[in-house]
Amino acid sequence: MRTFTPIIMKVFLEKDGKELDMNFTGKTVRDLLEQLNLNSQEVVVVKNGEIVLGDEPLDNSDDIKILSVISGG
Amino acid sequence: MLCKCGNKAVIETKEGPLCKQHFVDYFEKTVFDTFERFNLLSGVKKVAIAVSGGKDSTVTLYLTKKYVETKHLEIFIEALCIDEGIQGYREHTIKDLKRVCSELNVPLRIVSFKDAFGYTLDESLNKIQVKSCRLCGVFRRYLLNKYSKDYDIILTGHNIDDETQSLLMNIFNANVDLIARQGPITGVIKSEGFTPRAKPLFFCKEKEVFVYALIKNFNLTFVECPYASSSFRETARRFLNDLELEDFNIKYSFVNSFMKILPSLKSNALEGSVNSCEICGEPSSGNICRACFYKKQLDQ
Repeated sequence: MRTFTPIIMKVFLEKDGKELDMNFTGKTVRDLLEQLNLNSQEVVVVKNGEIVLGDEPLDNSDDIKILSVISGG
Repeated sequence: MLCKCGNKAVIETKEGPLCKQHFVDYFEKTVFDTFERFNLLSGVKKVAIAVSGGKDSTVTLYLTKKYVETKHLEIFIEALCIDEGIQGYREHTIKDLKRVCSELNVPLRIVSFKDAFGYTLDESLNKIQVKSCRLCGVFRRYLLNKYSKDYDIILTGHNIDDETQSLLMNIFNANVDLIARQGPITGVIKSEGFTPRAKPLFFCKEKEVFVYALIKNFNLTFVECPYASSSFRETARRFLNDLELEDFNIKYSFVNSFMKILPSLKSNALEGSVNSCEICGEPSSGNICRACFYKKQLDQ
């Protein structure tokens, strides 16, 4: 993974119901999921209220929510 | 990533990245094509939708109603919910379910494990040693069948992720007879005791169903079943989703291969006679059905 100067990023993980303050070392949604070890098939990322895909750039002013797609038993 | 129309894409599909509107069109066409390709509602007058208040069954309910209205079919639709009694999970989804059914003007019937068997799933798992998903599946299928006798067909919210996970699990467990029962229309035995079942979301990915539900603003509480992470299904899910990162079409390939061999699997499947359970009278392959077998253990 490419590394950039870390920024403090607030990320809300809906499944756990908690907000993370993380040192984000990437640049895009894809980097974020890789850093959090999340499979892109199992989550939807919402940036500032809009669903975004892997190539979407992120910065620390963004409101980021990660929603879990999985529900079954 | 942009949609073919130039708007920002919200999901990647087998047709490429799509914006909200093109994804909704693509998704609805996929489901409507499944209704037509497999004649799921041919000759049907009354349909029961197996619902939980989760995204898959809510989308199935919504799109079945939309399909029936679009095609001007005279079909009565009812929602049938089995409440397993899973604390911290089902009460949220049932609350959503009541609201959705009211908004869609579809009658809702709720049958609970507690009323039918005397125990919730949580209570049952504290009493006997059995895998959560196994017991839940036996009781749920039993009640769905028992309370849908007046209906021509039950539609369930199973998607391509569910189907490929089940395929993988049945292959690893050497359950060839169970594999023959899979597919968009469930079962190999036609019997008066069984209500036929079908899966309109058979060719839809779980993520697609989720995004469709989000776009449509069904306002559902997205909660994961607390027993999901302890199941073999969870392992199969992770395996398939990891493979999907390498090959985006892997689930379609898997299910399409399966569909090619399904007719021969069905014709070779044991057409064992259907008995009636000595205790409850419901269909059973043995003298006592699995639901009564577990109920007896619970009552001891």
